[in-house]
Amino acid sequence: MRATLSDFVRVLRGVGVRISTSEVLDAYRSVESLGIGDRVLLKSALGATLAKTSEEWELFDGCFDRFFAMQNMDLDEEAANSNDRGEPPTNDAPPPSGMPGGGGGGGAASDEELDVKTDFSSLSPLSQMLLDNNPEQLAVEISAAGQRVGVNDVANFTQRGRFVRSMAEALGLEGLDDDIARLDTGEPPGRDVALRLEQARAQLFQRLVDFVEQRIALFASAEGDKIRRELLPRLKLSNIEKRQQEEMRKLVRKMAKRLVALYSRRRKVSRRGQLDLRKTLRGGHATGGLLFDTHWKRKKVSRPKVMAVCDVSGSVASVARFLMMFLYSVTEVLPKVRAFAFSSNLHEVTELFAEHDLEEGVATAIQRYGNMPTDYGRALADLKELCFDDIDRRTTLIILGDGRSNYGNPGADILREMKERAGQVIWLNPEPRTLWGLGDSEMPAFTPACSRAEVCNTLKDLERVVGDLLRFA
Amino acid sequence: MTGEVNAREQIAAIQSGFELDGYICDVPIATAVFLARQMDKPILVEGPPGVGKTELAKAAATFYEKPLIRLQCYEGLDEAKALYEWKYGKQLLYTQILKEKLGDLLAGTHGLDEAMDRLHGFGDSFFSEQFLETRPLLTALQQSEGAVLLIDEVDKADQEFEAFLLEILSDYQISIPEIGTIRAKSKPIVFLTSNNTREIGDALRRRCLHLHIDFPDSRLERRIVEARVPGISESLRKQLVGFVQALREMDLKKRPAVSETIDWARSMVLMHAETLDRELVRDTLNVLLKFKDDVDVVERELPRLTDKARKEGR
Repeated sequence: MRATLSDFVRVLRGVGVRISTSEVLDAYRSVESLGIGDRVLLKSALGATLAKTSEEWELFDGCFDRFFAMQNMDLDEEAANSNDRGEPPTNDAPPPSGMPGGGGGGGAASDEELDVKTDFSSLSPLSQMLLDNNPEQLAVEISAAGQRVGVNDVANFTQRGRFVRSMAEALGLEGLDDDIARLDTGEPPGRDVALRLEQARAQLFQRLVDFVEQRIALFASAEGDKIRRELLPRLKLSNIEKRQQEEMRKLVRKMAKRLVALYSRRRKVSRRGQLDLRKTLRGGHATGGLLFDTHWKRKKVSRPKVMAVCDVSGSVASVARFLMMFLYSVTEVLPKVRAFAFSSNLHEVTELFAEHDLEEGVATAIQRYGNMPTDYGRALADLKELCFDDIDRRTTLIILGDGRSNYGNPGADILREMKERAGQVIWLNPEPRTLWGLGDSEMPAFTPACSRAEVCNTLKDLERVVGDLLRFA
Repeated sequence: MTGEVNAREQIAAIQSGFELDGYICDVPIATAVFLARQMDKPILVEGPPGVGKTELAKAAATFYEKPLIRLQCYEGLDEAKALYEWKYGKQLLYTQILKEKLGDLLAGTHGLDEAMDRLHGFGDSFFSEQFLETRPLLTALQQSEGAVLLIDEVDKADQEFEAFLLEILSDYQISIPEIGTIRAKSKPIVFLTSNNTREIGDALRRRCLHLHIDFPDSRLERRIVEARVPGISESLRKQLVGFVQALREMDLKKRPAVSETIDWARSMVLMHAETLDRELVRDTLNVLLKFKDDVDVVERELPRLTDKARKEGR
């Protein structure tokens, strides 16, 4: 049972349910007190202890059915019977294997060949089992063999053949082959048995293949999901394909949530209920030293203002998309985000995001303002005109762009002017640092006018930048 | 094996016990309550509003015959409101009243040091239990017979309040700096409910059992209505549950919850209705739907919905 449960936990973790050790212990304890006989109870108990959010419950639901459908652990018969749709792979498979081949032939032949039956004792255990045609026992043996060869560690599809082979060997394939070879060369009744064994052998392999494939579906896909999840944040944002975008969005939301949880606490110290003794004493003067009114300590925490200026021309657009996504996912901590988009002229797009949802807003901004030759001098001048007065020392100005101004005026002096007013100016450049300053890149001019200039082209980079923003802003 | 059978019986007992109280629940809910008792763990109940999250705690309180202590969470809730507070007013008042006594007490002392020494001899009388105002969480721990503690809508409280719940929920104890650690006299059964307006932190989730209650299927809902609104006829019950279930399939701003089904059934009984007809439904739709837009959408579909519900009810 323990092995089964920890396998199940591994599957759940693979599909993205976060399970801590203490939760696994809870699950053990609950299973101990409830037993595993009743599948509904088992599901409720594991669900209550392992899946801790509604989304995780959905995942758990699917995994539970798939996992325990093929799990042939030491269930009571009651459980095996009560579960009508669960068992097909193991319980339904035998009838077809039995009927045309071993079972059907055996049933007809058993009357006349009773004498041969005694002969079976000389056969290997596997051959006897196959001739007995007892699907339950075979299923138990198969999963025991699976445990022995560690089939649950299967990582990808190419390992299928290997595992089928080693499972067959663990079941005693050698003895079976010997029997077949021996009987085939012997007397006619023995030959019939050999024929039956041959058929049973083929069916056994089919079942083993099914068995291993189910494991692959369960464990290897979970494994693959895990790898992809770990890999995605490190992928270059501009290389991310359309079909991965949904996953990326989920990732962004998850990262943003973590950042929010990390930094929101600090922002709310204002509401601490502590007696402000000085104020209370001072208030007491009015009543002749009698302290009637109590005053409470309060601290005002100012919220940072963020202005995000994004280059939405071709190459940078994909990074801009994710930066916007990130910034708007942390609105709990950063409620005042103003967004600007430019390629040559600069426009404020804050409204756009307020009206549409994020994805649509970004797409519209790119469509409306992208596709023009970038002109940083022009854009920065526009920015100055639009909101120079709104920039104060609480403002963080984030500029996302490759700094390639098509040999036009970069406008670094305007940027410097803004830096003097703003709390900090952060330049994010999706290009690697070695390319800064090559060709029409104006980064050498911009860099001194920024508090920080960083390379930013993966989700990990973005997370770091936004995390810093929340920490220092 | 006997332990397992016993557990199954106890879960069945919880189910039927809740049913006596008019709370119809399915196996997962009863199992979660059973496990919570068994493992001394709080239950975090999530689900759409109106599926009976709060009712579950009430039913548990009745079933286990323990007082229900409720803490309603809201933004800005802090330990002074949830746990304990010093009765500052009383403290100040007492210092004023005892001012003269203090003079007597300190009479004959020479110098500040001596006076202070004498004062120290009287201990921290102003920070003792007499001046402690207990709030729900502390009250629940102090019940010697145990209690059912309901922390309602924990998602409405601030993030730091969650962190502060952790000590109580995992060890059933609270540390008060001036007095020391207070342990639960008898461990309360704790229910936390959440509507998911904000994500609950992982640390809190880890310490709880999780129970997701969704809208019930029609069979369960019929039983709920039967238990809650006894005077209603079988056919009408089927019809109105069918109608509500159909509404939940639609794209509405707020889908009608179980509590609204019950209210609707009650109003049907009050109006002596026997079957659902279009006029009746139109007049009472405001019991079920709480947004103007939703009412408009449903009114357009009304003939189809009522016909379907009537057919099902037959």
